[in-house]
Amino acid sequence: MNPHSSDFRCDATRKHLADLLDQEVSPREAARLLGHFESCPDCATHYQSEYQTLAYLRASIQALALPEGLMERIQDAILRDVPTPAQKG
Amino acid sequence: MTKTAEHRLFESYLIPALKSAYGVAYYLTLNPSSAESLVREASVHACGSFSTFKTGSNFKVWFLHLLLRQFTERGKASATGSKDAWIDSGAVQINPDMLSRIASQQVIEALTKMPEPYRIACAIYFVDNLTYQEIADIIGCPLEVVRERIHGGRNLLKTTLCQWSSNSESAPKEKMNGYPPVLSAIG
Repeated sequence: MNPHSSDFRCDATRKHLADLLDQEVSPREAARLLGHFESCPDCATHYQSEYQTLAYLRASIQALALPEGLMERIQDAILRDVPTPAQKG
Repeated sequence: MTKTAEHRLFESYLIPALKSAYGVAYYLTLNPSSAESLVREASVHACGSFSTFKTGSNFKVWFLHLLLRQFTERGKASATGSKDAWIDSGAVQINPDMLSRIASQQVIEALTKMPEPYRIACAIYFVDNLTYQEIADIIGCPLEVVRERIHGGRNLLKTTLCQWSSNSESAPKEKMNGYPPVLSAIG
């Protein structure tokens, strides 16, 4: 495959898309990938779609509610079960 | 018995990390009451060994590592186990129309159905904004293993949600009655 062809760049871009979404690529690599989006609407749309999906999945999973009074119960357990320096001797 | 200054300092670190810790514990134990019990036990253990925490390092990474170790010591899982079930990490895309029909509770349930250790890596990945290296430090496995589990697990999550969305009859709406509450509707 011609390394300068559009398909080659699209394949290479999509291969690194997950890392780009997680900001796990170098600034130089990120600039190269984002630069490709300017000339490739398909890859730009794909990236945008993946970005929105990931944000929704993350928000949904983070919406799990903390049980009411959990911190107070933890504080009670610490007070009851963790020895103080004096108790440690 | 009175609180010591060290207890107070530990609690000041724990409070901002508690939501992430409970989230990880929930996806480890798959049960709200077991999750609370795990977080409580890990907190007692961590407070007792708080002198080993290095000031200036990432408390959340330190605490989640202890929490995960506490969980594996219960003998219910081996988070670092290397024999992962192979997951096809081929790209799966959810279009905006499909995404708008997926409820937050379905995302939560889909994550609980993922096989370990993909579920563990993805739970840590999704509940907070940690780097792959920090997640690797929490689990105690190489960075590339974490990368593969997150990419593969993310695709599995999307595949499951696509299947449920395209076949609404199989969406486990009734089963979701017993699930813990979410803070509010998303999006």
